[in-house]
Amino acid sequence: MNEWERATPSVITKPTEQLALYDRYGSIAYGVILQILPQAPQAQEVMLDLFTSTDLLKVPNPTGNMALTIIRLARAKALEAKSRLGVPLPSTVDPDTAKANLPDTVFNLSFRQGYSIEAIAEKLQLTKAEVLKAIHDYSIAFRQA
Amino acid sequence: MKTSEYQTSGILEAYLLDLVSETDRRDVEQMISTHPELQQYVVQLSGQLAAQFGQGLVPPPPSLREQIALRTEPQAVKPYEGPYERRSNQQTNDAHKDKSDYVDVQVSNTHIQVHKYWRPAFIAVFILSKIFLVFGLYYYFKAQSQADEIQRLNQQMQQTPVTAPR
Repeated sequence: MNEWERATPSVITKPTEQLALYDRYGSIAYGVILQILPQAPQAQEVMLDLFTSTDLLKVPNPTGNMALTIIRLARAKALEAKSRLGVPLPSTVDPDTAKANLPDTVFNLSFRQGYSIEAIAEKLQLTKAEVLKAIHDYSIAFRQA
Repeated sequence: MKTSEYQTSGILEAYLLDLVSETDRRDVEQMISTHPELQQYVVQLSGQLAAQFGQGLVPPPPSLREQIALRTEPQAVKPYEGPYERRSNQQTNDAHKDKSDYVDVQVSNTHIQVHKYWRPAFIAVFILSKIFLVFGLYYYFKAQSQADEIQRLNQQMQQTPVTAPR
């Protein structure tokens, strides 16, 4: 079993545990944040916020996989920082170009740009089910790569 | 929807990555809670997704760890308050009246803490000890040289012949 696939305790009680989480998941969180905020100083600010905030102590962890919980929280904080900094979102996406590589485009728009599934469906002139299927296909393709 | 269709629909990936709306999230949670096989699949899928992101590891700069350690350091014990500070605080702050006479000290600190006035006292004692040492040595050598001088004079007197009075 991969290191990231292991279940981890869902409750963090001490600051020292926050530091232990940083040691274990810092690299994965930084990788996720850089996907959303490519500028290193801003990404490091988000990292500080992520590993020192109390959100880490009370975030729900339904599947028991702490790595995934950190990924979700890192993404949420990076998107929050991105909107706070006023980084412009891509205004137009050509549906025909997007459909050529749909899984990548959908994952980029949803995970990295923070668009909702409904907004992506509208933007790319697709149904909601097609957008969700593209996310599934992206996940499958990534695992097989 | 069958669970197999549900598994390949992409809604579970979107749910686990927090990409779905609140309504969809509730629907997925409802679905998971009623289908144990789906619950097992979600646990497995969450591991696979985490592993997928684990391929894009980027080590953060080492200084970041120090900053996090500093910011998450527990503020468990308040700093030591000396008797003088405590007395003046008692006069100004009524909240201190109910406090006990015990002082919070950092148990992890291995150093002895003394009042700041001890520093000039120690310096004064050190300087005085040096002065006394210098004086002691000076008088010791002076007494030694005087003793030698007396001995030399005695020897000189003994060597000189005594002339009888006429």
